[in-house]
Amino acid sequence: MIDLARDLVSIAESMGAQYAEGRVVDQSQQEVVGTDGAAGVSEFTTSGFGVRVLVDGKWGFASDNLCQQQPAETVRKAISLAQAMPRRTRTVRLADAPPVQATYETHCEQDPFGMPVPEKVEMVQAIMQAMAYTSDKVTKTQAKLDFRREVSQLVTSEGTEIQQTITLTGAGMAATVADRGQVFRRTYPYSHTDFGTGGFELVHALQPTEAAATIVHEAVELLKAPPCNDVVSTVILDSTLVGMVLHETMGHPIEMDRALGDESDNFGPSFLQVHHLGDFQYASEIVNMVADATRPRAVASYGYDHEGVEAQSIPIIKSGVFSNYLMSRECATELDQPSNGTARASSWNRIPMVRITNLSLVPGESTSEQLISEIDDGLYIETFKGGDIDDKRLTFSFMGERGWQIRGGKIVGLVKNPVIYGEAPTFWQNCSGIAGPGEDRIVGISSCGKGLPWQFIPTGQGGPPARFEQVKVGGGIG
Amino acid sequence: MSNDYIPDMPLGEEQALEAVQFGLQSSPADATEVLVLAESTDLTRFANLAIHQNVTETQYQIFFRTVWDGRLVVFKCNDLTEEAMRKALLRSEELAAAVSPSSALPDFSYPVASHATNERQKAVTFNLATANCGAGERAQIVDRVCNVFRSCGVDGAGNVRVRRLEMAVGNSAGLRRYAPFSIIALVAVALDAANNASGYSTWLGRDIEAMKPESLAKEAAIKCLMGRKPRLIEAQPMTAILEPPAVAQLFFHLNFRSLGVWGAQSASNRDNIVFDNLGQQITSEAITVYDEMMTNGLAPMPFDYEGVDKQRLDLIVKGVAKGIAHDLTSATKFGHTPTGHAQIPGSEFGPSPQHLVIEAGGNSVSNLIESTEYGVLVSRIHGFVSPLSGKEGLLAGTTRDGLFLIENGRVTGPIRNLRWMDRIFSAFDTVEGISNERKVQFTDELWFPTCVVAPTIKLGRFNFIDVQRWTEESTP
Repeated sequence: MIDLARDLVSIAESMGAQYAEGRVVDQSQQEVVGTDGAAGVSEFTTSGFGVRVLVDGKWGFASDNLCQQQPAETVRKAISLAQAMPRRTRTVRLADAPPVQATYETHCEQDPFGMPVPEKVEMVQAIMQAMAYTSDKVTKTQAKLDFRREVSQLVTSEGTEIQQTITLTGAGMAATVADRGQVFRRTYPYSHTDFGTGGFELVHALQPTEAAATIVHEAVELLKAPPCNDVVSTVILDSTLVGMVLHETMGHPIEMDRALGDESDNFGPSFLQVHHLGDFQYASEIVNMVADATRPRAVASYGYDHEGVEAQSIPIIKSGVFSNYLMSRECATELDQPSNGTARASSWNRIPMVRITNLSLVPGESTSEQLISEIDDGLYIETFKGGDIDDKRLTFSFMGERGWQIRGGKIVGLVKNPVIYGEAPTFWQNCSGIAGPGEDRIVGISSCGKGLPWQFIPTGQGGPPARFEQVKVGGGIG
Repeated sequence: MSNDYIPDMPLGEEQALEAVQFGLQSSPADATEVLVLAESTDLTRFANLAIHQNVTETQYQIFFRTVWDGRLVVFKCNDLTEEAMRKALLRSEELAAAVSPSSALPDFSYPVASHATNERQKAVTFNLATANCGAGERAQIVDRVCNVFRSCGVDGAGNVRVRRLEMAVGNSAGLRRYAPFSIIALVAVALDAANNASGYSTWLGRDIEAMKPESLAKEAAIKCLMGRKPRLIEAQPMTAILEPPAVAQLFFHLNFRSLGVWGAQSASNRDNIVFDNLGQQITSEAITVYDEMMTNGLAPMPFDYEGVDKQRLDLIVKGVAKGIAHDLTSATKFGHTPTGHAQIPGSEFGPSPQHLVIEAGGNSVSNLIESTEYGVLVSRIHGFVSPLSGKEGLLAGTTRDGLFLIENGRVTGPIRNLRWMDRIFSAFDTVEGISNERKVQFTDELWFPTCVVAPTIKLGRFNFIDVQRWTEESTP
């Protein structure tokens, strides 16, 4: 496949491209999905190639299926698109990036694609059985294993040649219980399938069969739990909620293409503008946040981005101050800086664009117990259930599956479906405590959406539990 | 325009149906369905009044759903060669040996037996001029939009997308169907960042001749100009007049984007307010909603991904919950007739309506505003919405692209965006008026765009809970 990528680039140069990158991608996915005791398997594969060119500073991109190999025709389309742009098209410059020749492969202790399918089916069935046998209130059992592999070749006209094999492994489960008209769905490890880079060892690490009975007991408890009152309160969020709040309120605003307006026709721009960089106190001084594409086992870890720039750990928030954007080679020229290696494409038929990698809140020096003990009246919220953010990534709401009421420094009772809402800078400026590295945890989603045509891509997010003051809880919905 | 002459399609009818036929002939499974989707999509995006993205893709997808001794396996690839198809079927057989018997299986004979011969079969899905719209023409459309924005003194972003789609489906019960589609969509967003204002308009259809770029741009620009320097009011439950983009967004999220209340999957998950209340009043009597691909202004899709004819499906009639969408598998499970709303095999959403129509009312938008003592005019709801509870129809989100205060029967000025959280069917129980004018709105996460024909709807009470306070000036 590397030869095809080379051909794309050399043809593009011969047709007048000043810059060209050819990518050949082969993606495989295997899903083992269990519902109510029955487990099914689906497999999906897609392979193709894309070529992106710069002609007189204008972009063009074309792609096709691998089975339809007509590279010259595809390159011709890309060149034509670049040439068809009117005068008022943005003129693109690319930040310098040294040419790279490299290979990178996700380390898998146990290759999930090499394992016998029946073994995975049995695990999914065992999880569902364990849930079903735990309580007669269980009305639905669901379990899922999801394995994905991307083998890609990237060649650029600047001499870069990179071959990467990225393997993702994901797992998740849910138990639905019902009693006297009340229904509750409890998930593990949270409401999405939790993905990481690596092999089947990631599934074993989650201990899903062991967790199955626990989440049923928790779901039954939640059937009887009261809803959360409308209050303004001190709130501790667990790692899954810290992660998803980070993702929406810090991850998307720091995408520089969004800040420059490129997503204004879709889910909107960012309130964080270039003049805020290095100056804007986004969070309290105890808050530090990194975007780390090198974090072992995290879902968005890779060797090189799809422009051939090496993966990096980028400090985004330093002592509460907004300190760095995520940048592609094109965006980086706005700051006269090099790219920080975050341009990714979801498949062969999409262009690389700035994407969140693995975001994490840097651990503090506290513990969850200590954070709780310092609260006179508050709430500890667990397990991300859903959330949203506005078109400038300012106001948000997030829901957890369960909350623990705190009185006098102690947990005193359970509530279900607690919702928090607020505005990002105020919320982060009220961060008053962060647990330590022993509780640091990152979760991975497979399908963060951005761009047009839509690109759904894996991102990681998390950190240790953290405490926030003056948080709005509820929403007048009873 | 008929479907007779189809230019430069990614596959063409003959090749698409040949692939289906080969897959079916080669399958040793007890029952087999082969679905081929092909697309050629061109997209031009602009921001800051300049084009920044110009892309094209050709993509095939071939899905095999095979049944082996009561076990269902789904396999998808994008290789239409005979060798690849044989491999796919061999792999399906291997996988079948490992999986559990399926609790419900699709009845592949249904789409053959139920195949209609009426007018619906003649739905025109393709327009040559649309399909032939090239990069130069898309750039001209962008120019026309940007020229209006410039003349109005606003910044702007948007996109023009042209899609040529083909769908061919067959099964071992004898089904063979093919349809080509042309779709063009324009999104225009007018922006005035310095004054914290924006405006939005959009259009999607089969026929490029019906698209009016200048009118759409003007609509967005006027909203943006009206929305400059919005003032802050505190959030509270109040009367809200939702314009078509706002109404449509709620319906997209009640539908597949969040809660899936008109699909069998959430019913199966016991998390579906509509299914729980079938036959009961769930909104004001003023609300009637149905799914009908043969509606003026919509891009029709005559059959679903299982080859089942799309029939009109009543969802809410005079406020009473009437139905949910079924595919072949959920129909077996629920003992229901398939409704022609299957999604692509392996879809996480399950069956979903894609041509939602909300019946018009008898009011003009002016009437709705004039009859409002105090409330807000909501131009649009942001596409990112929290799905809080399917059982309660509970969603949360924000307004965007123009929010206006109404006092004593007139619009008195722009206000900052508000956050809302509400049980949507309860909110629609407070309807005080519906406009006679409607607009088509669309969303494009699925292979075939999902549309809502939406009027402006006045709600007596919508639960606003917070306001976007932060501005550049408020930065410490």
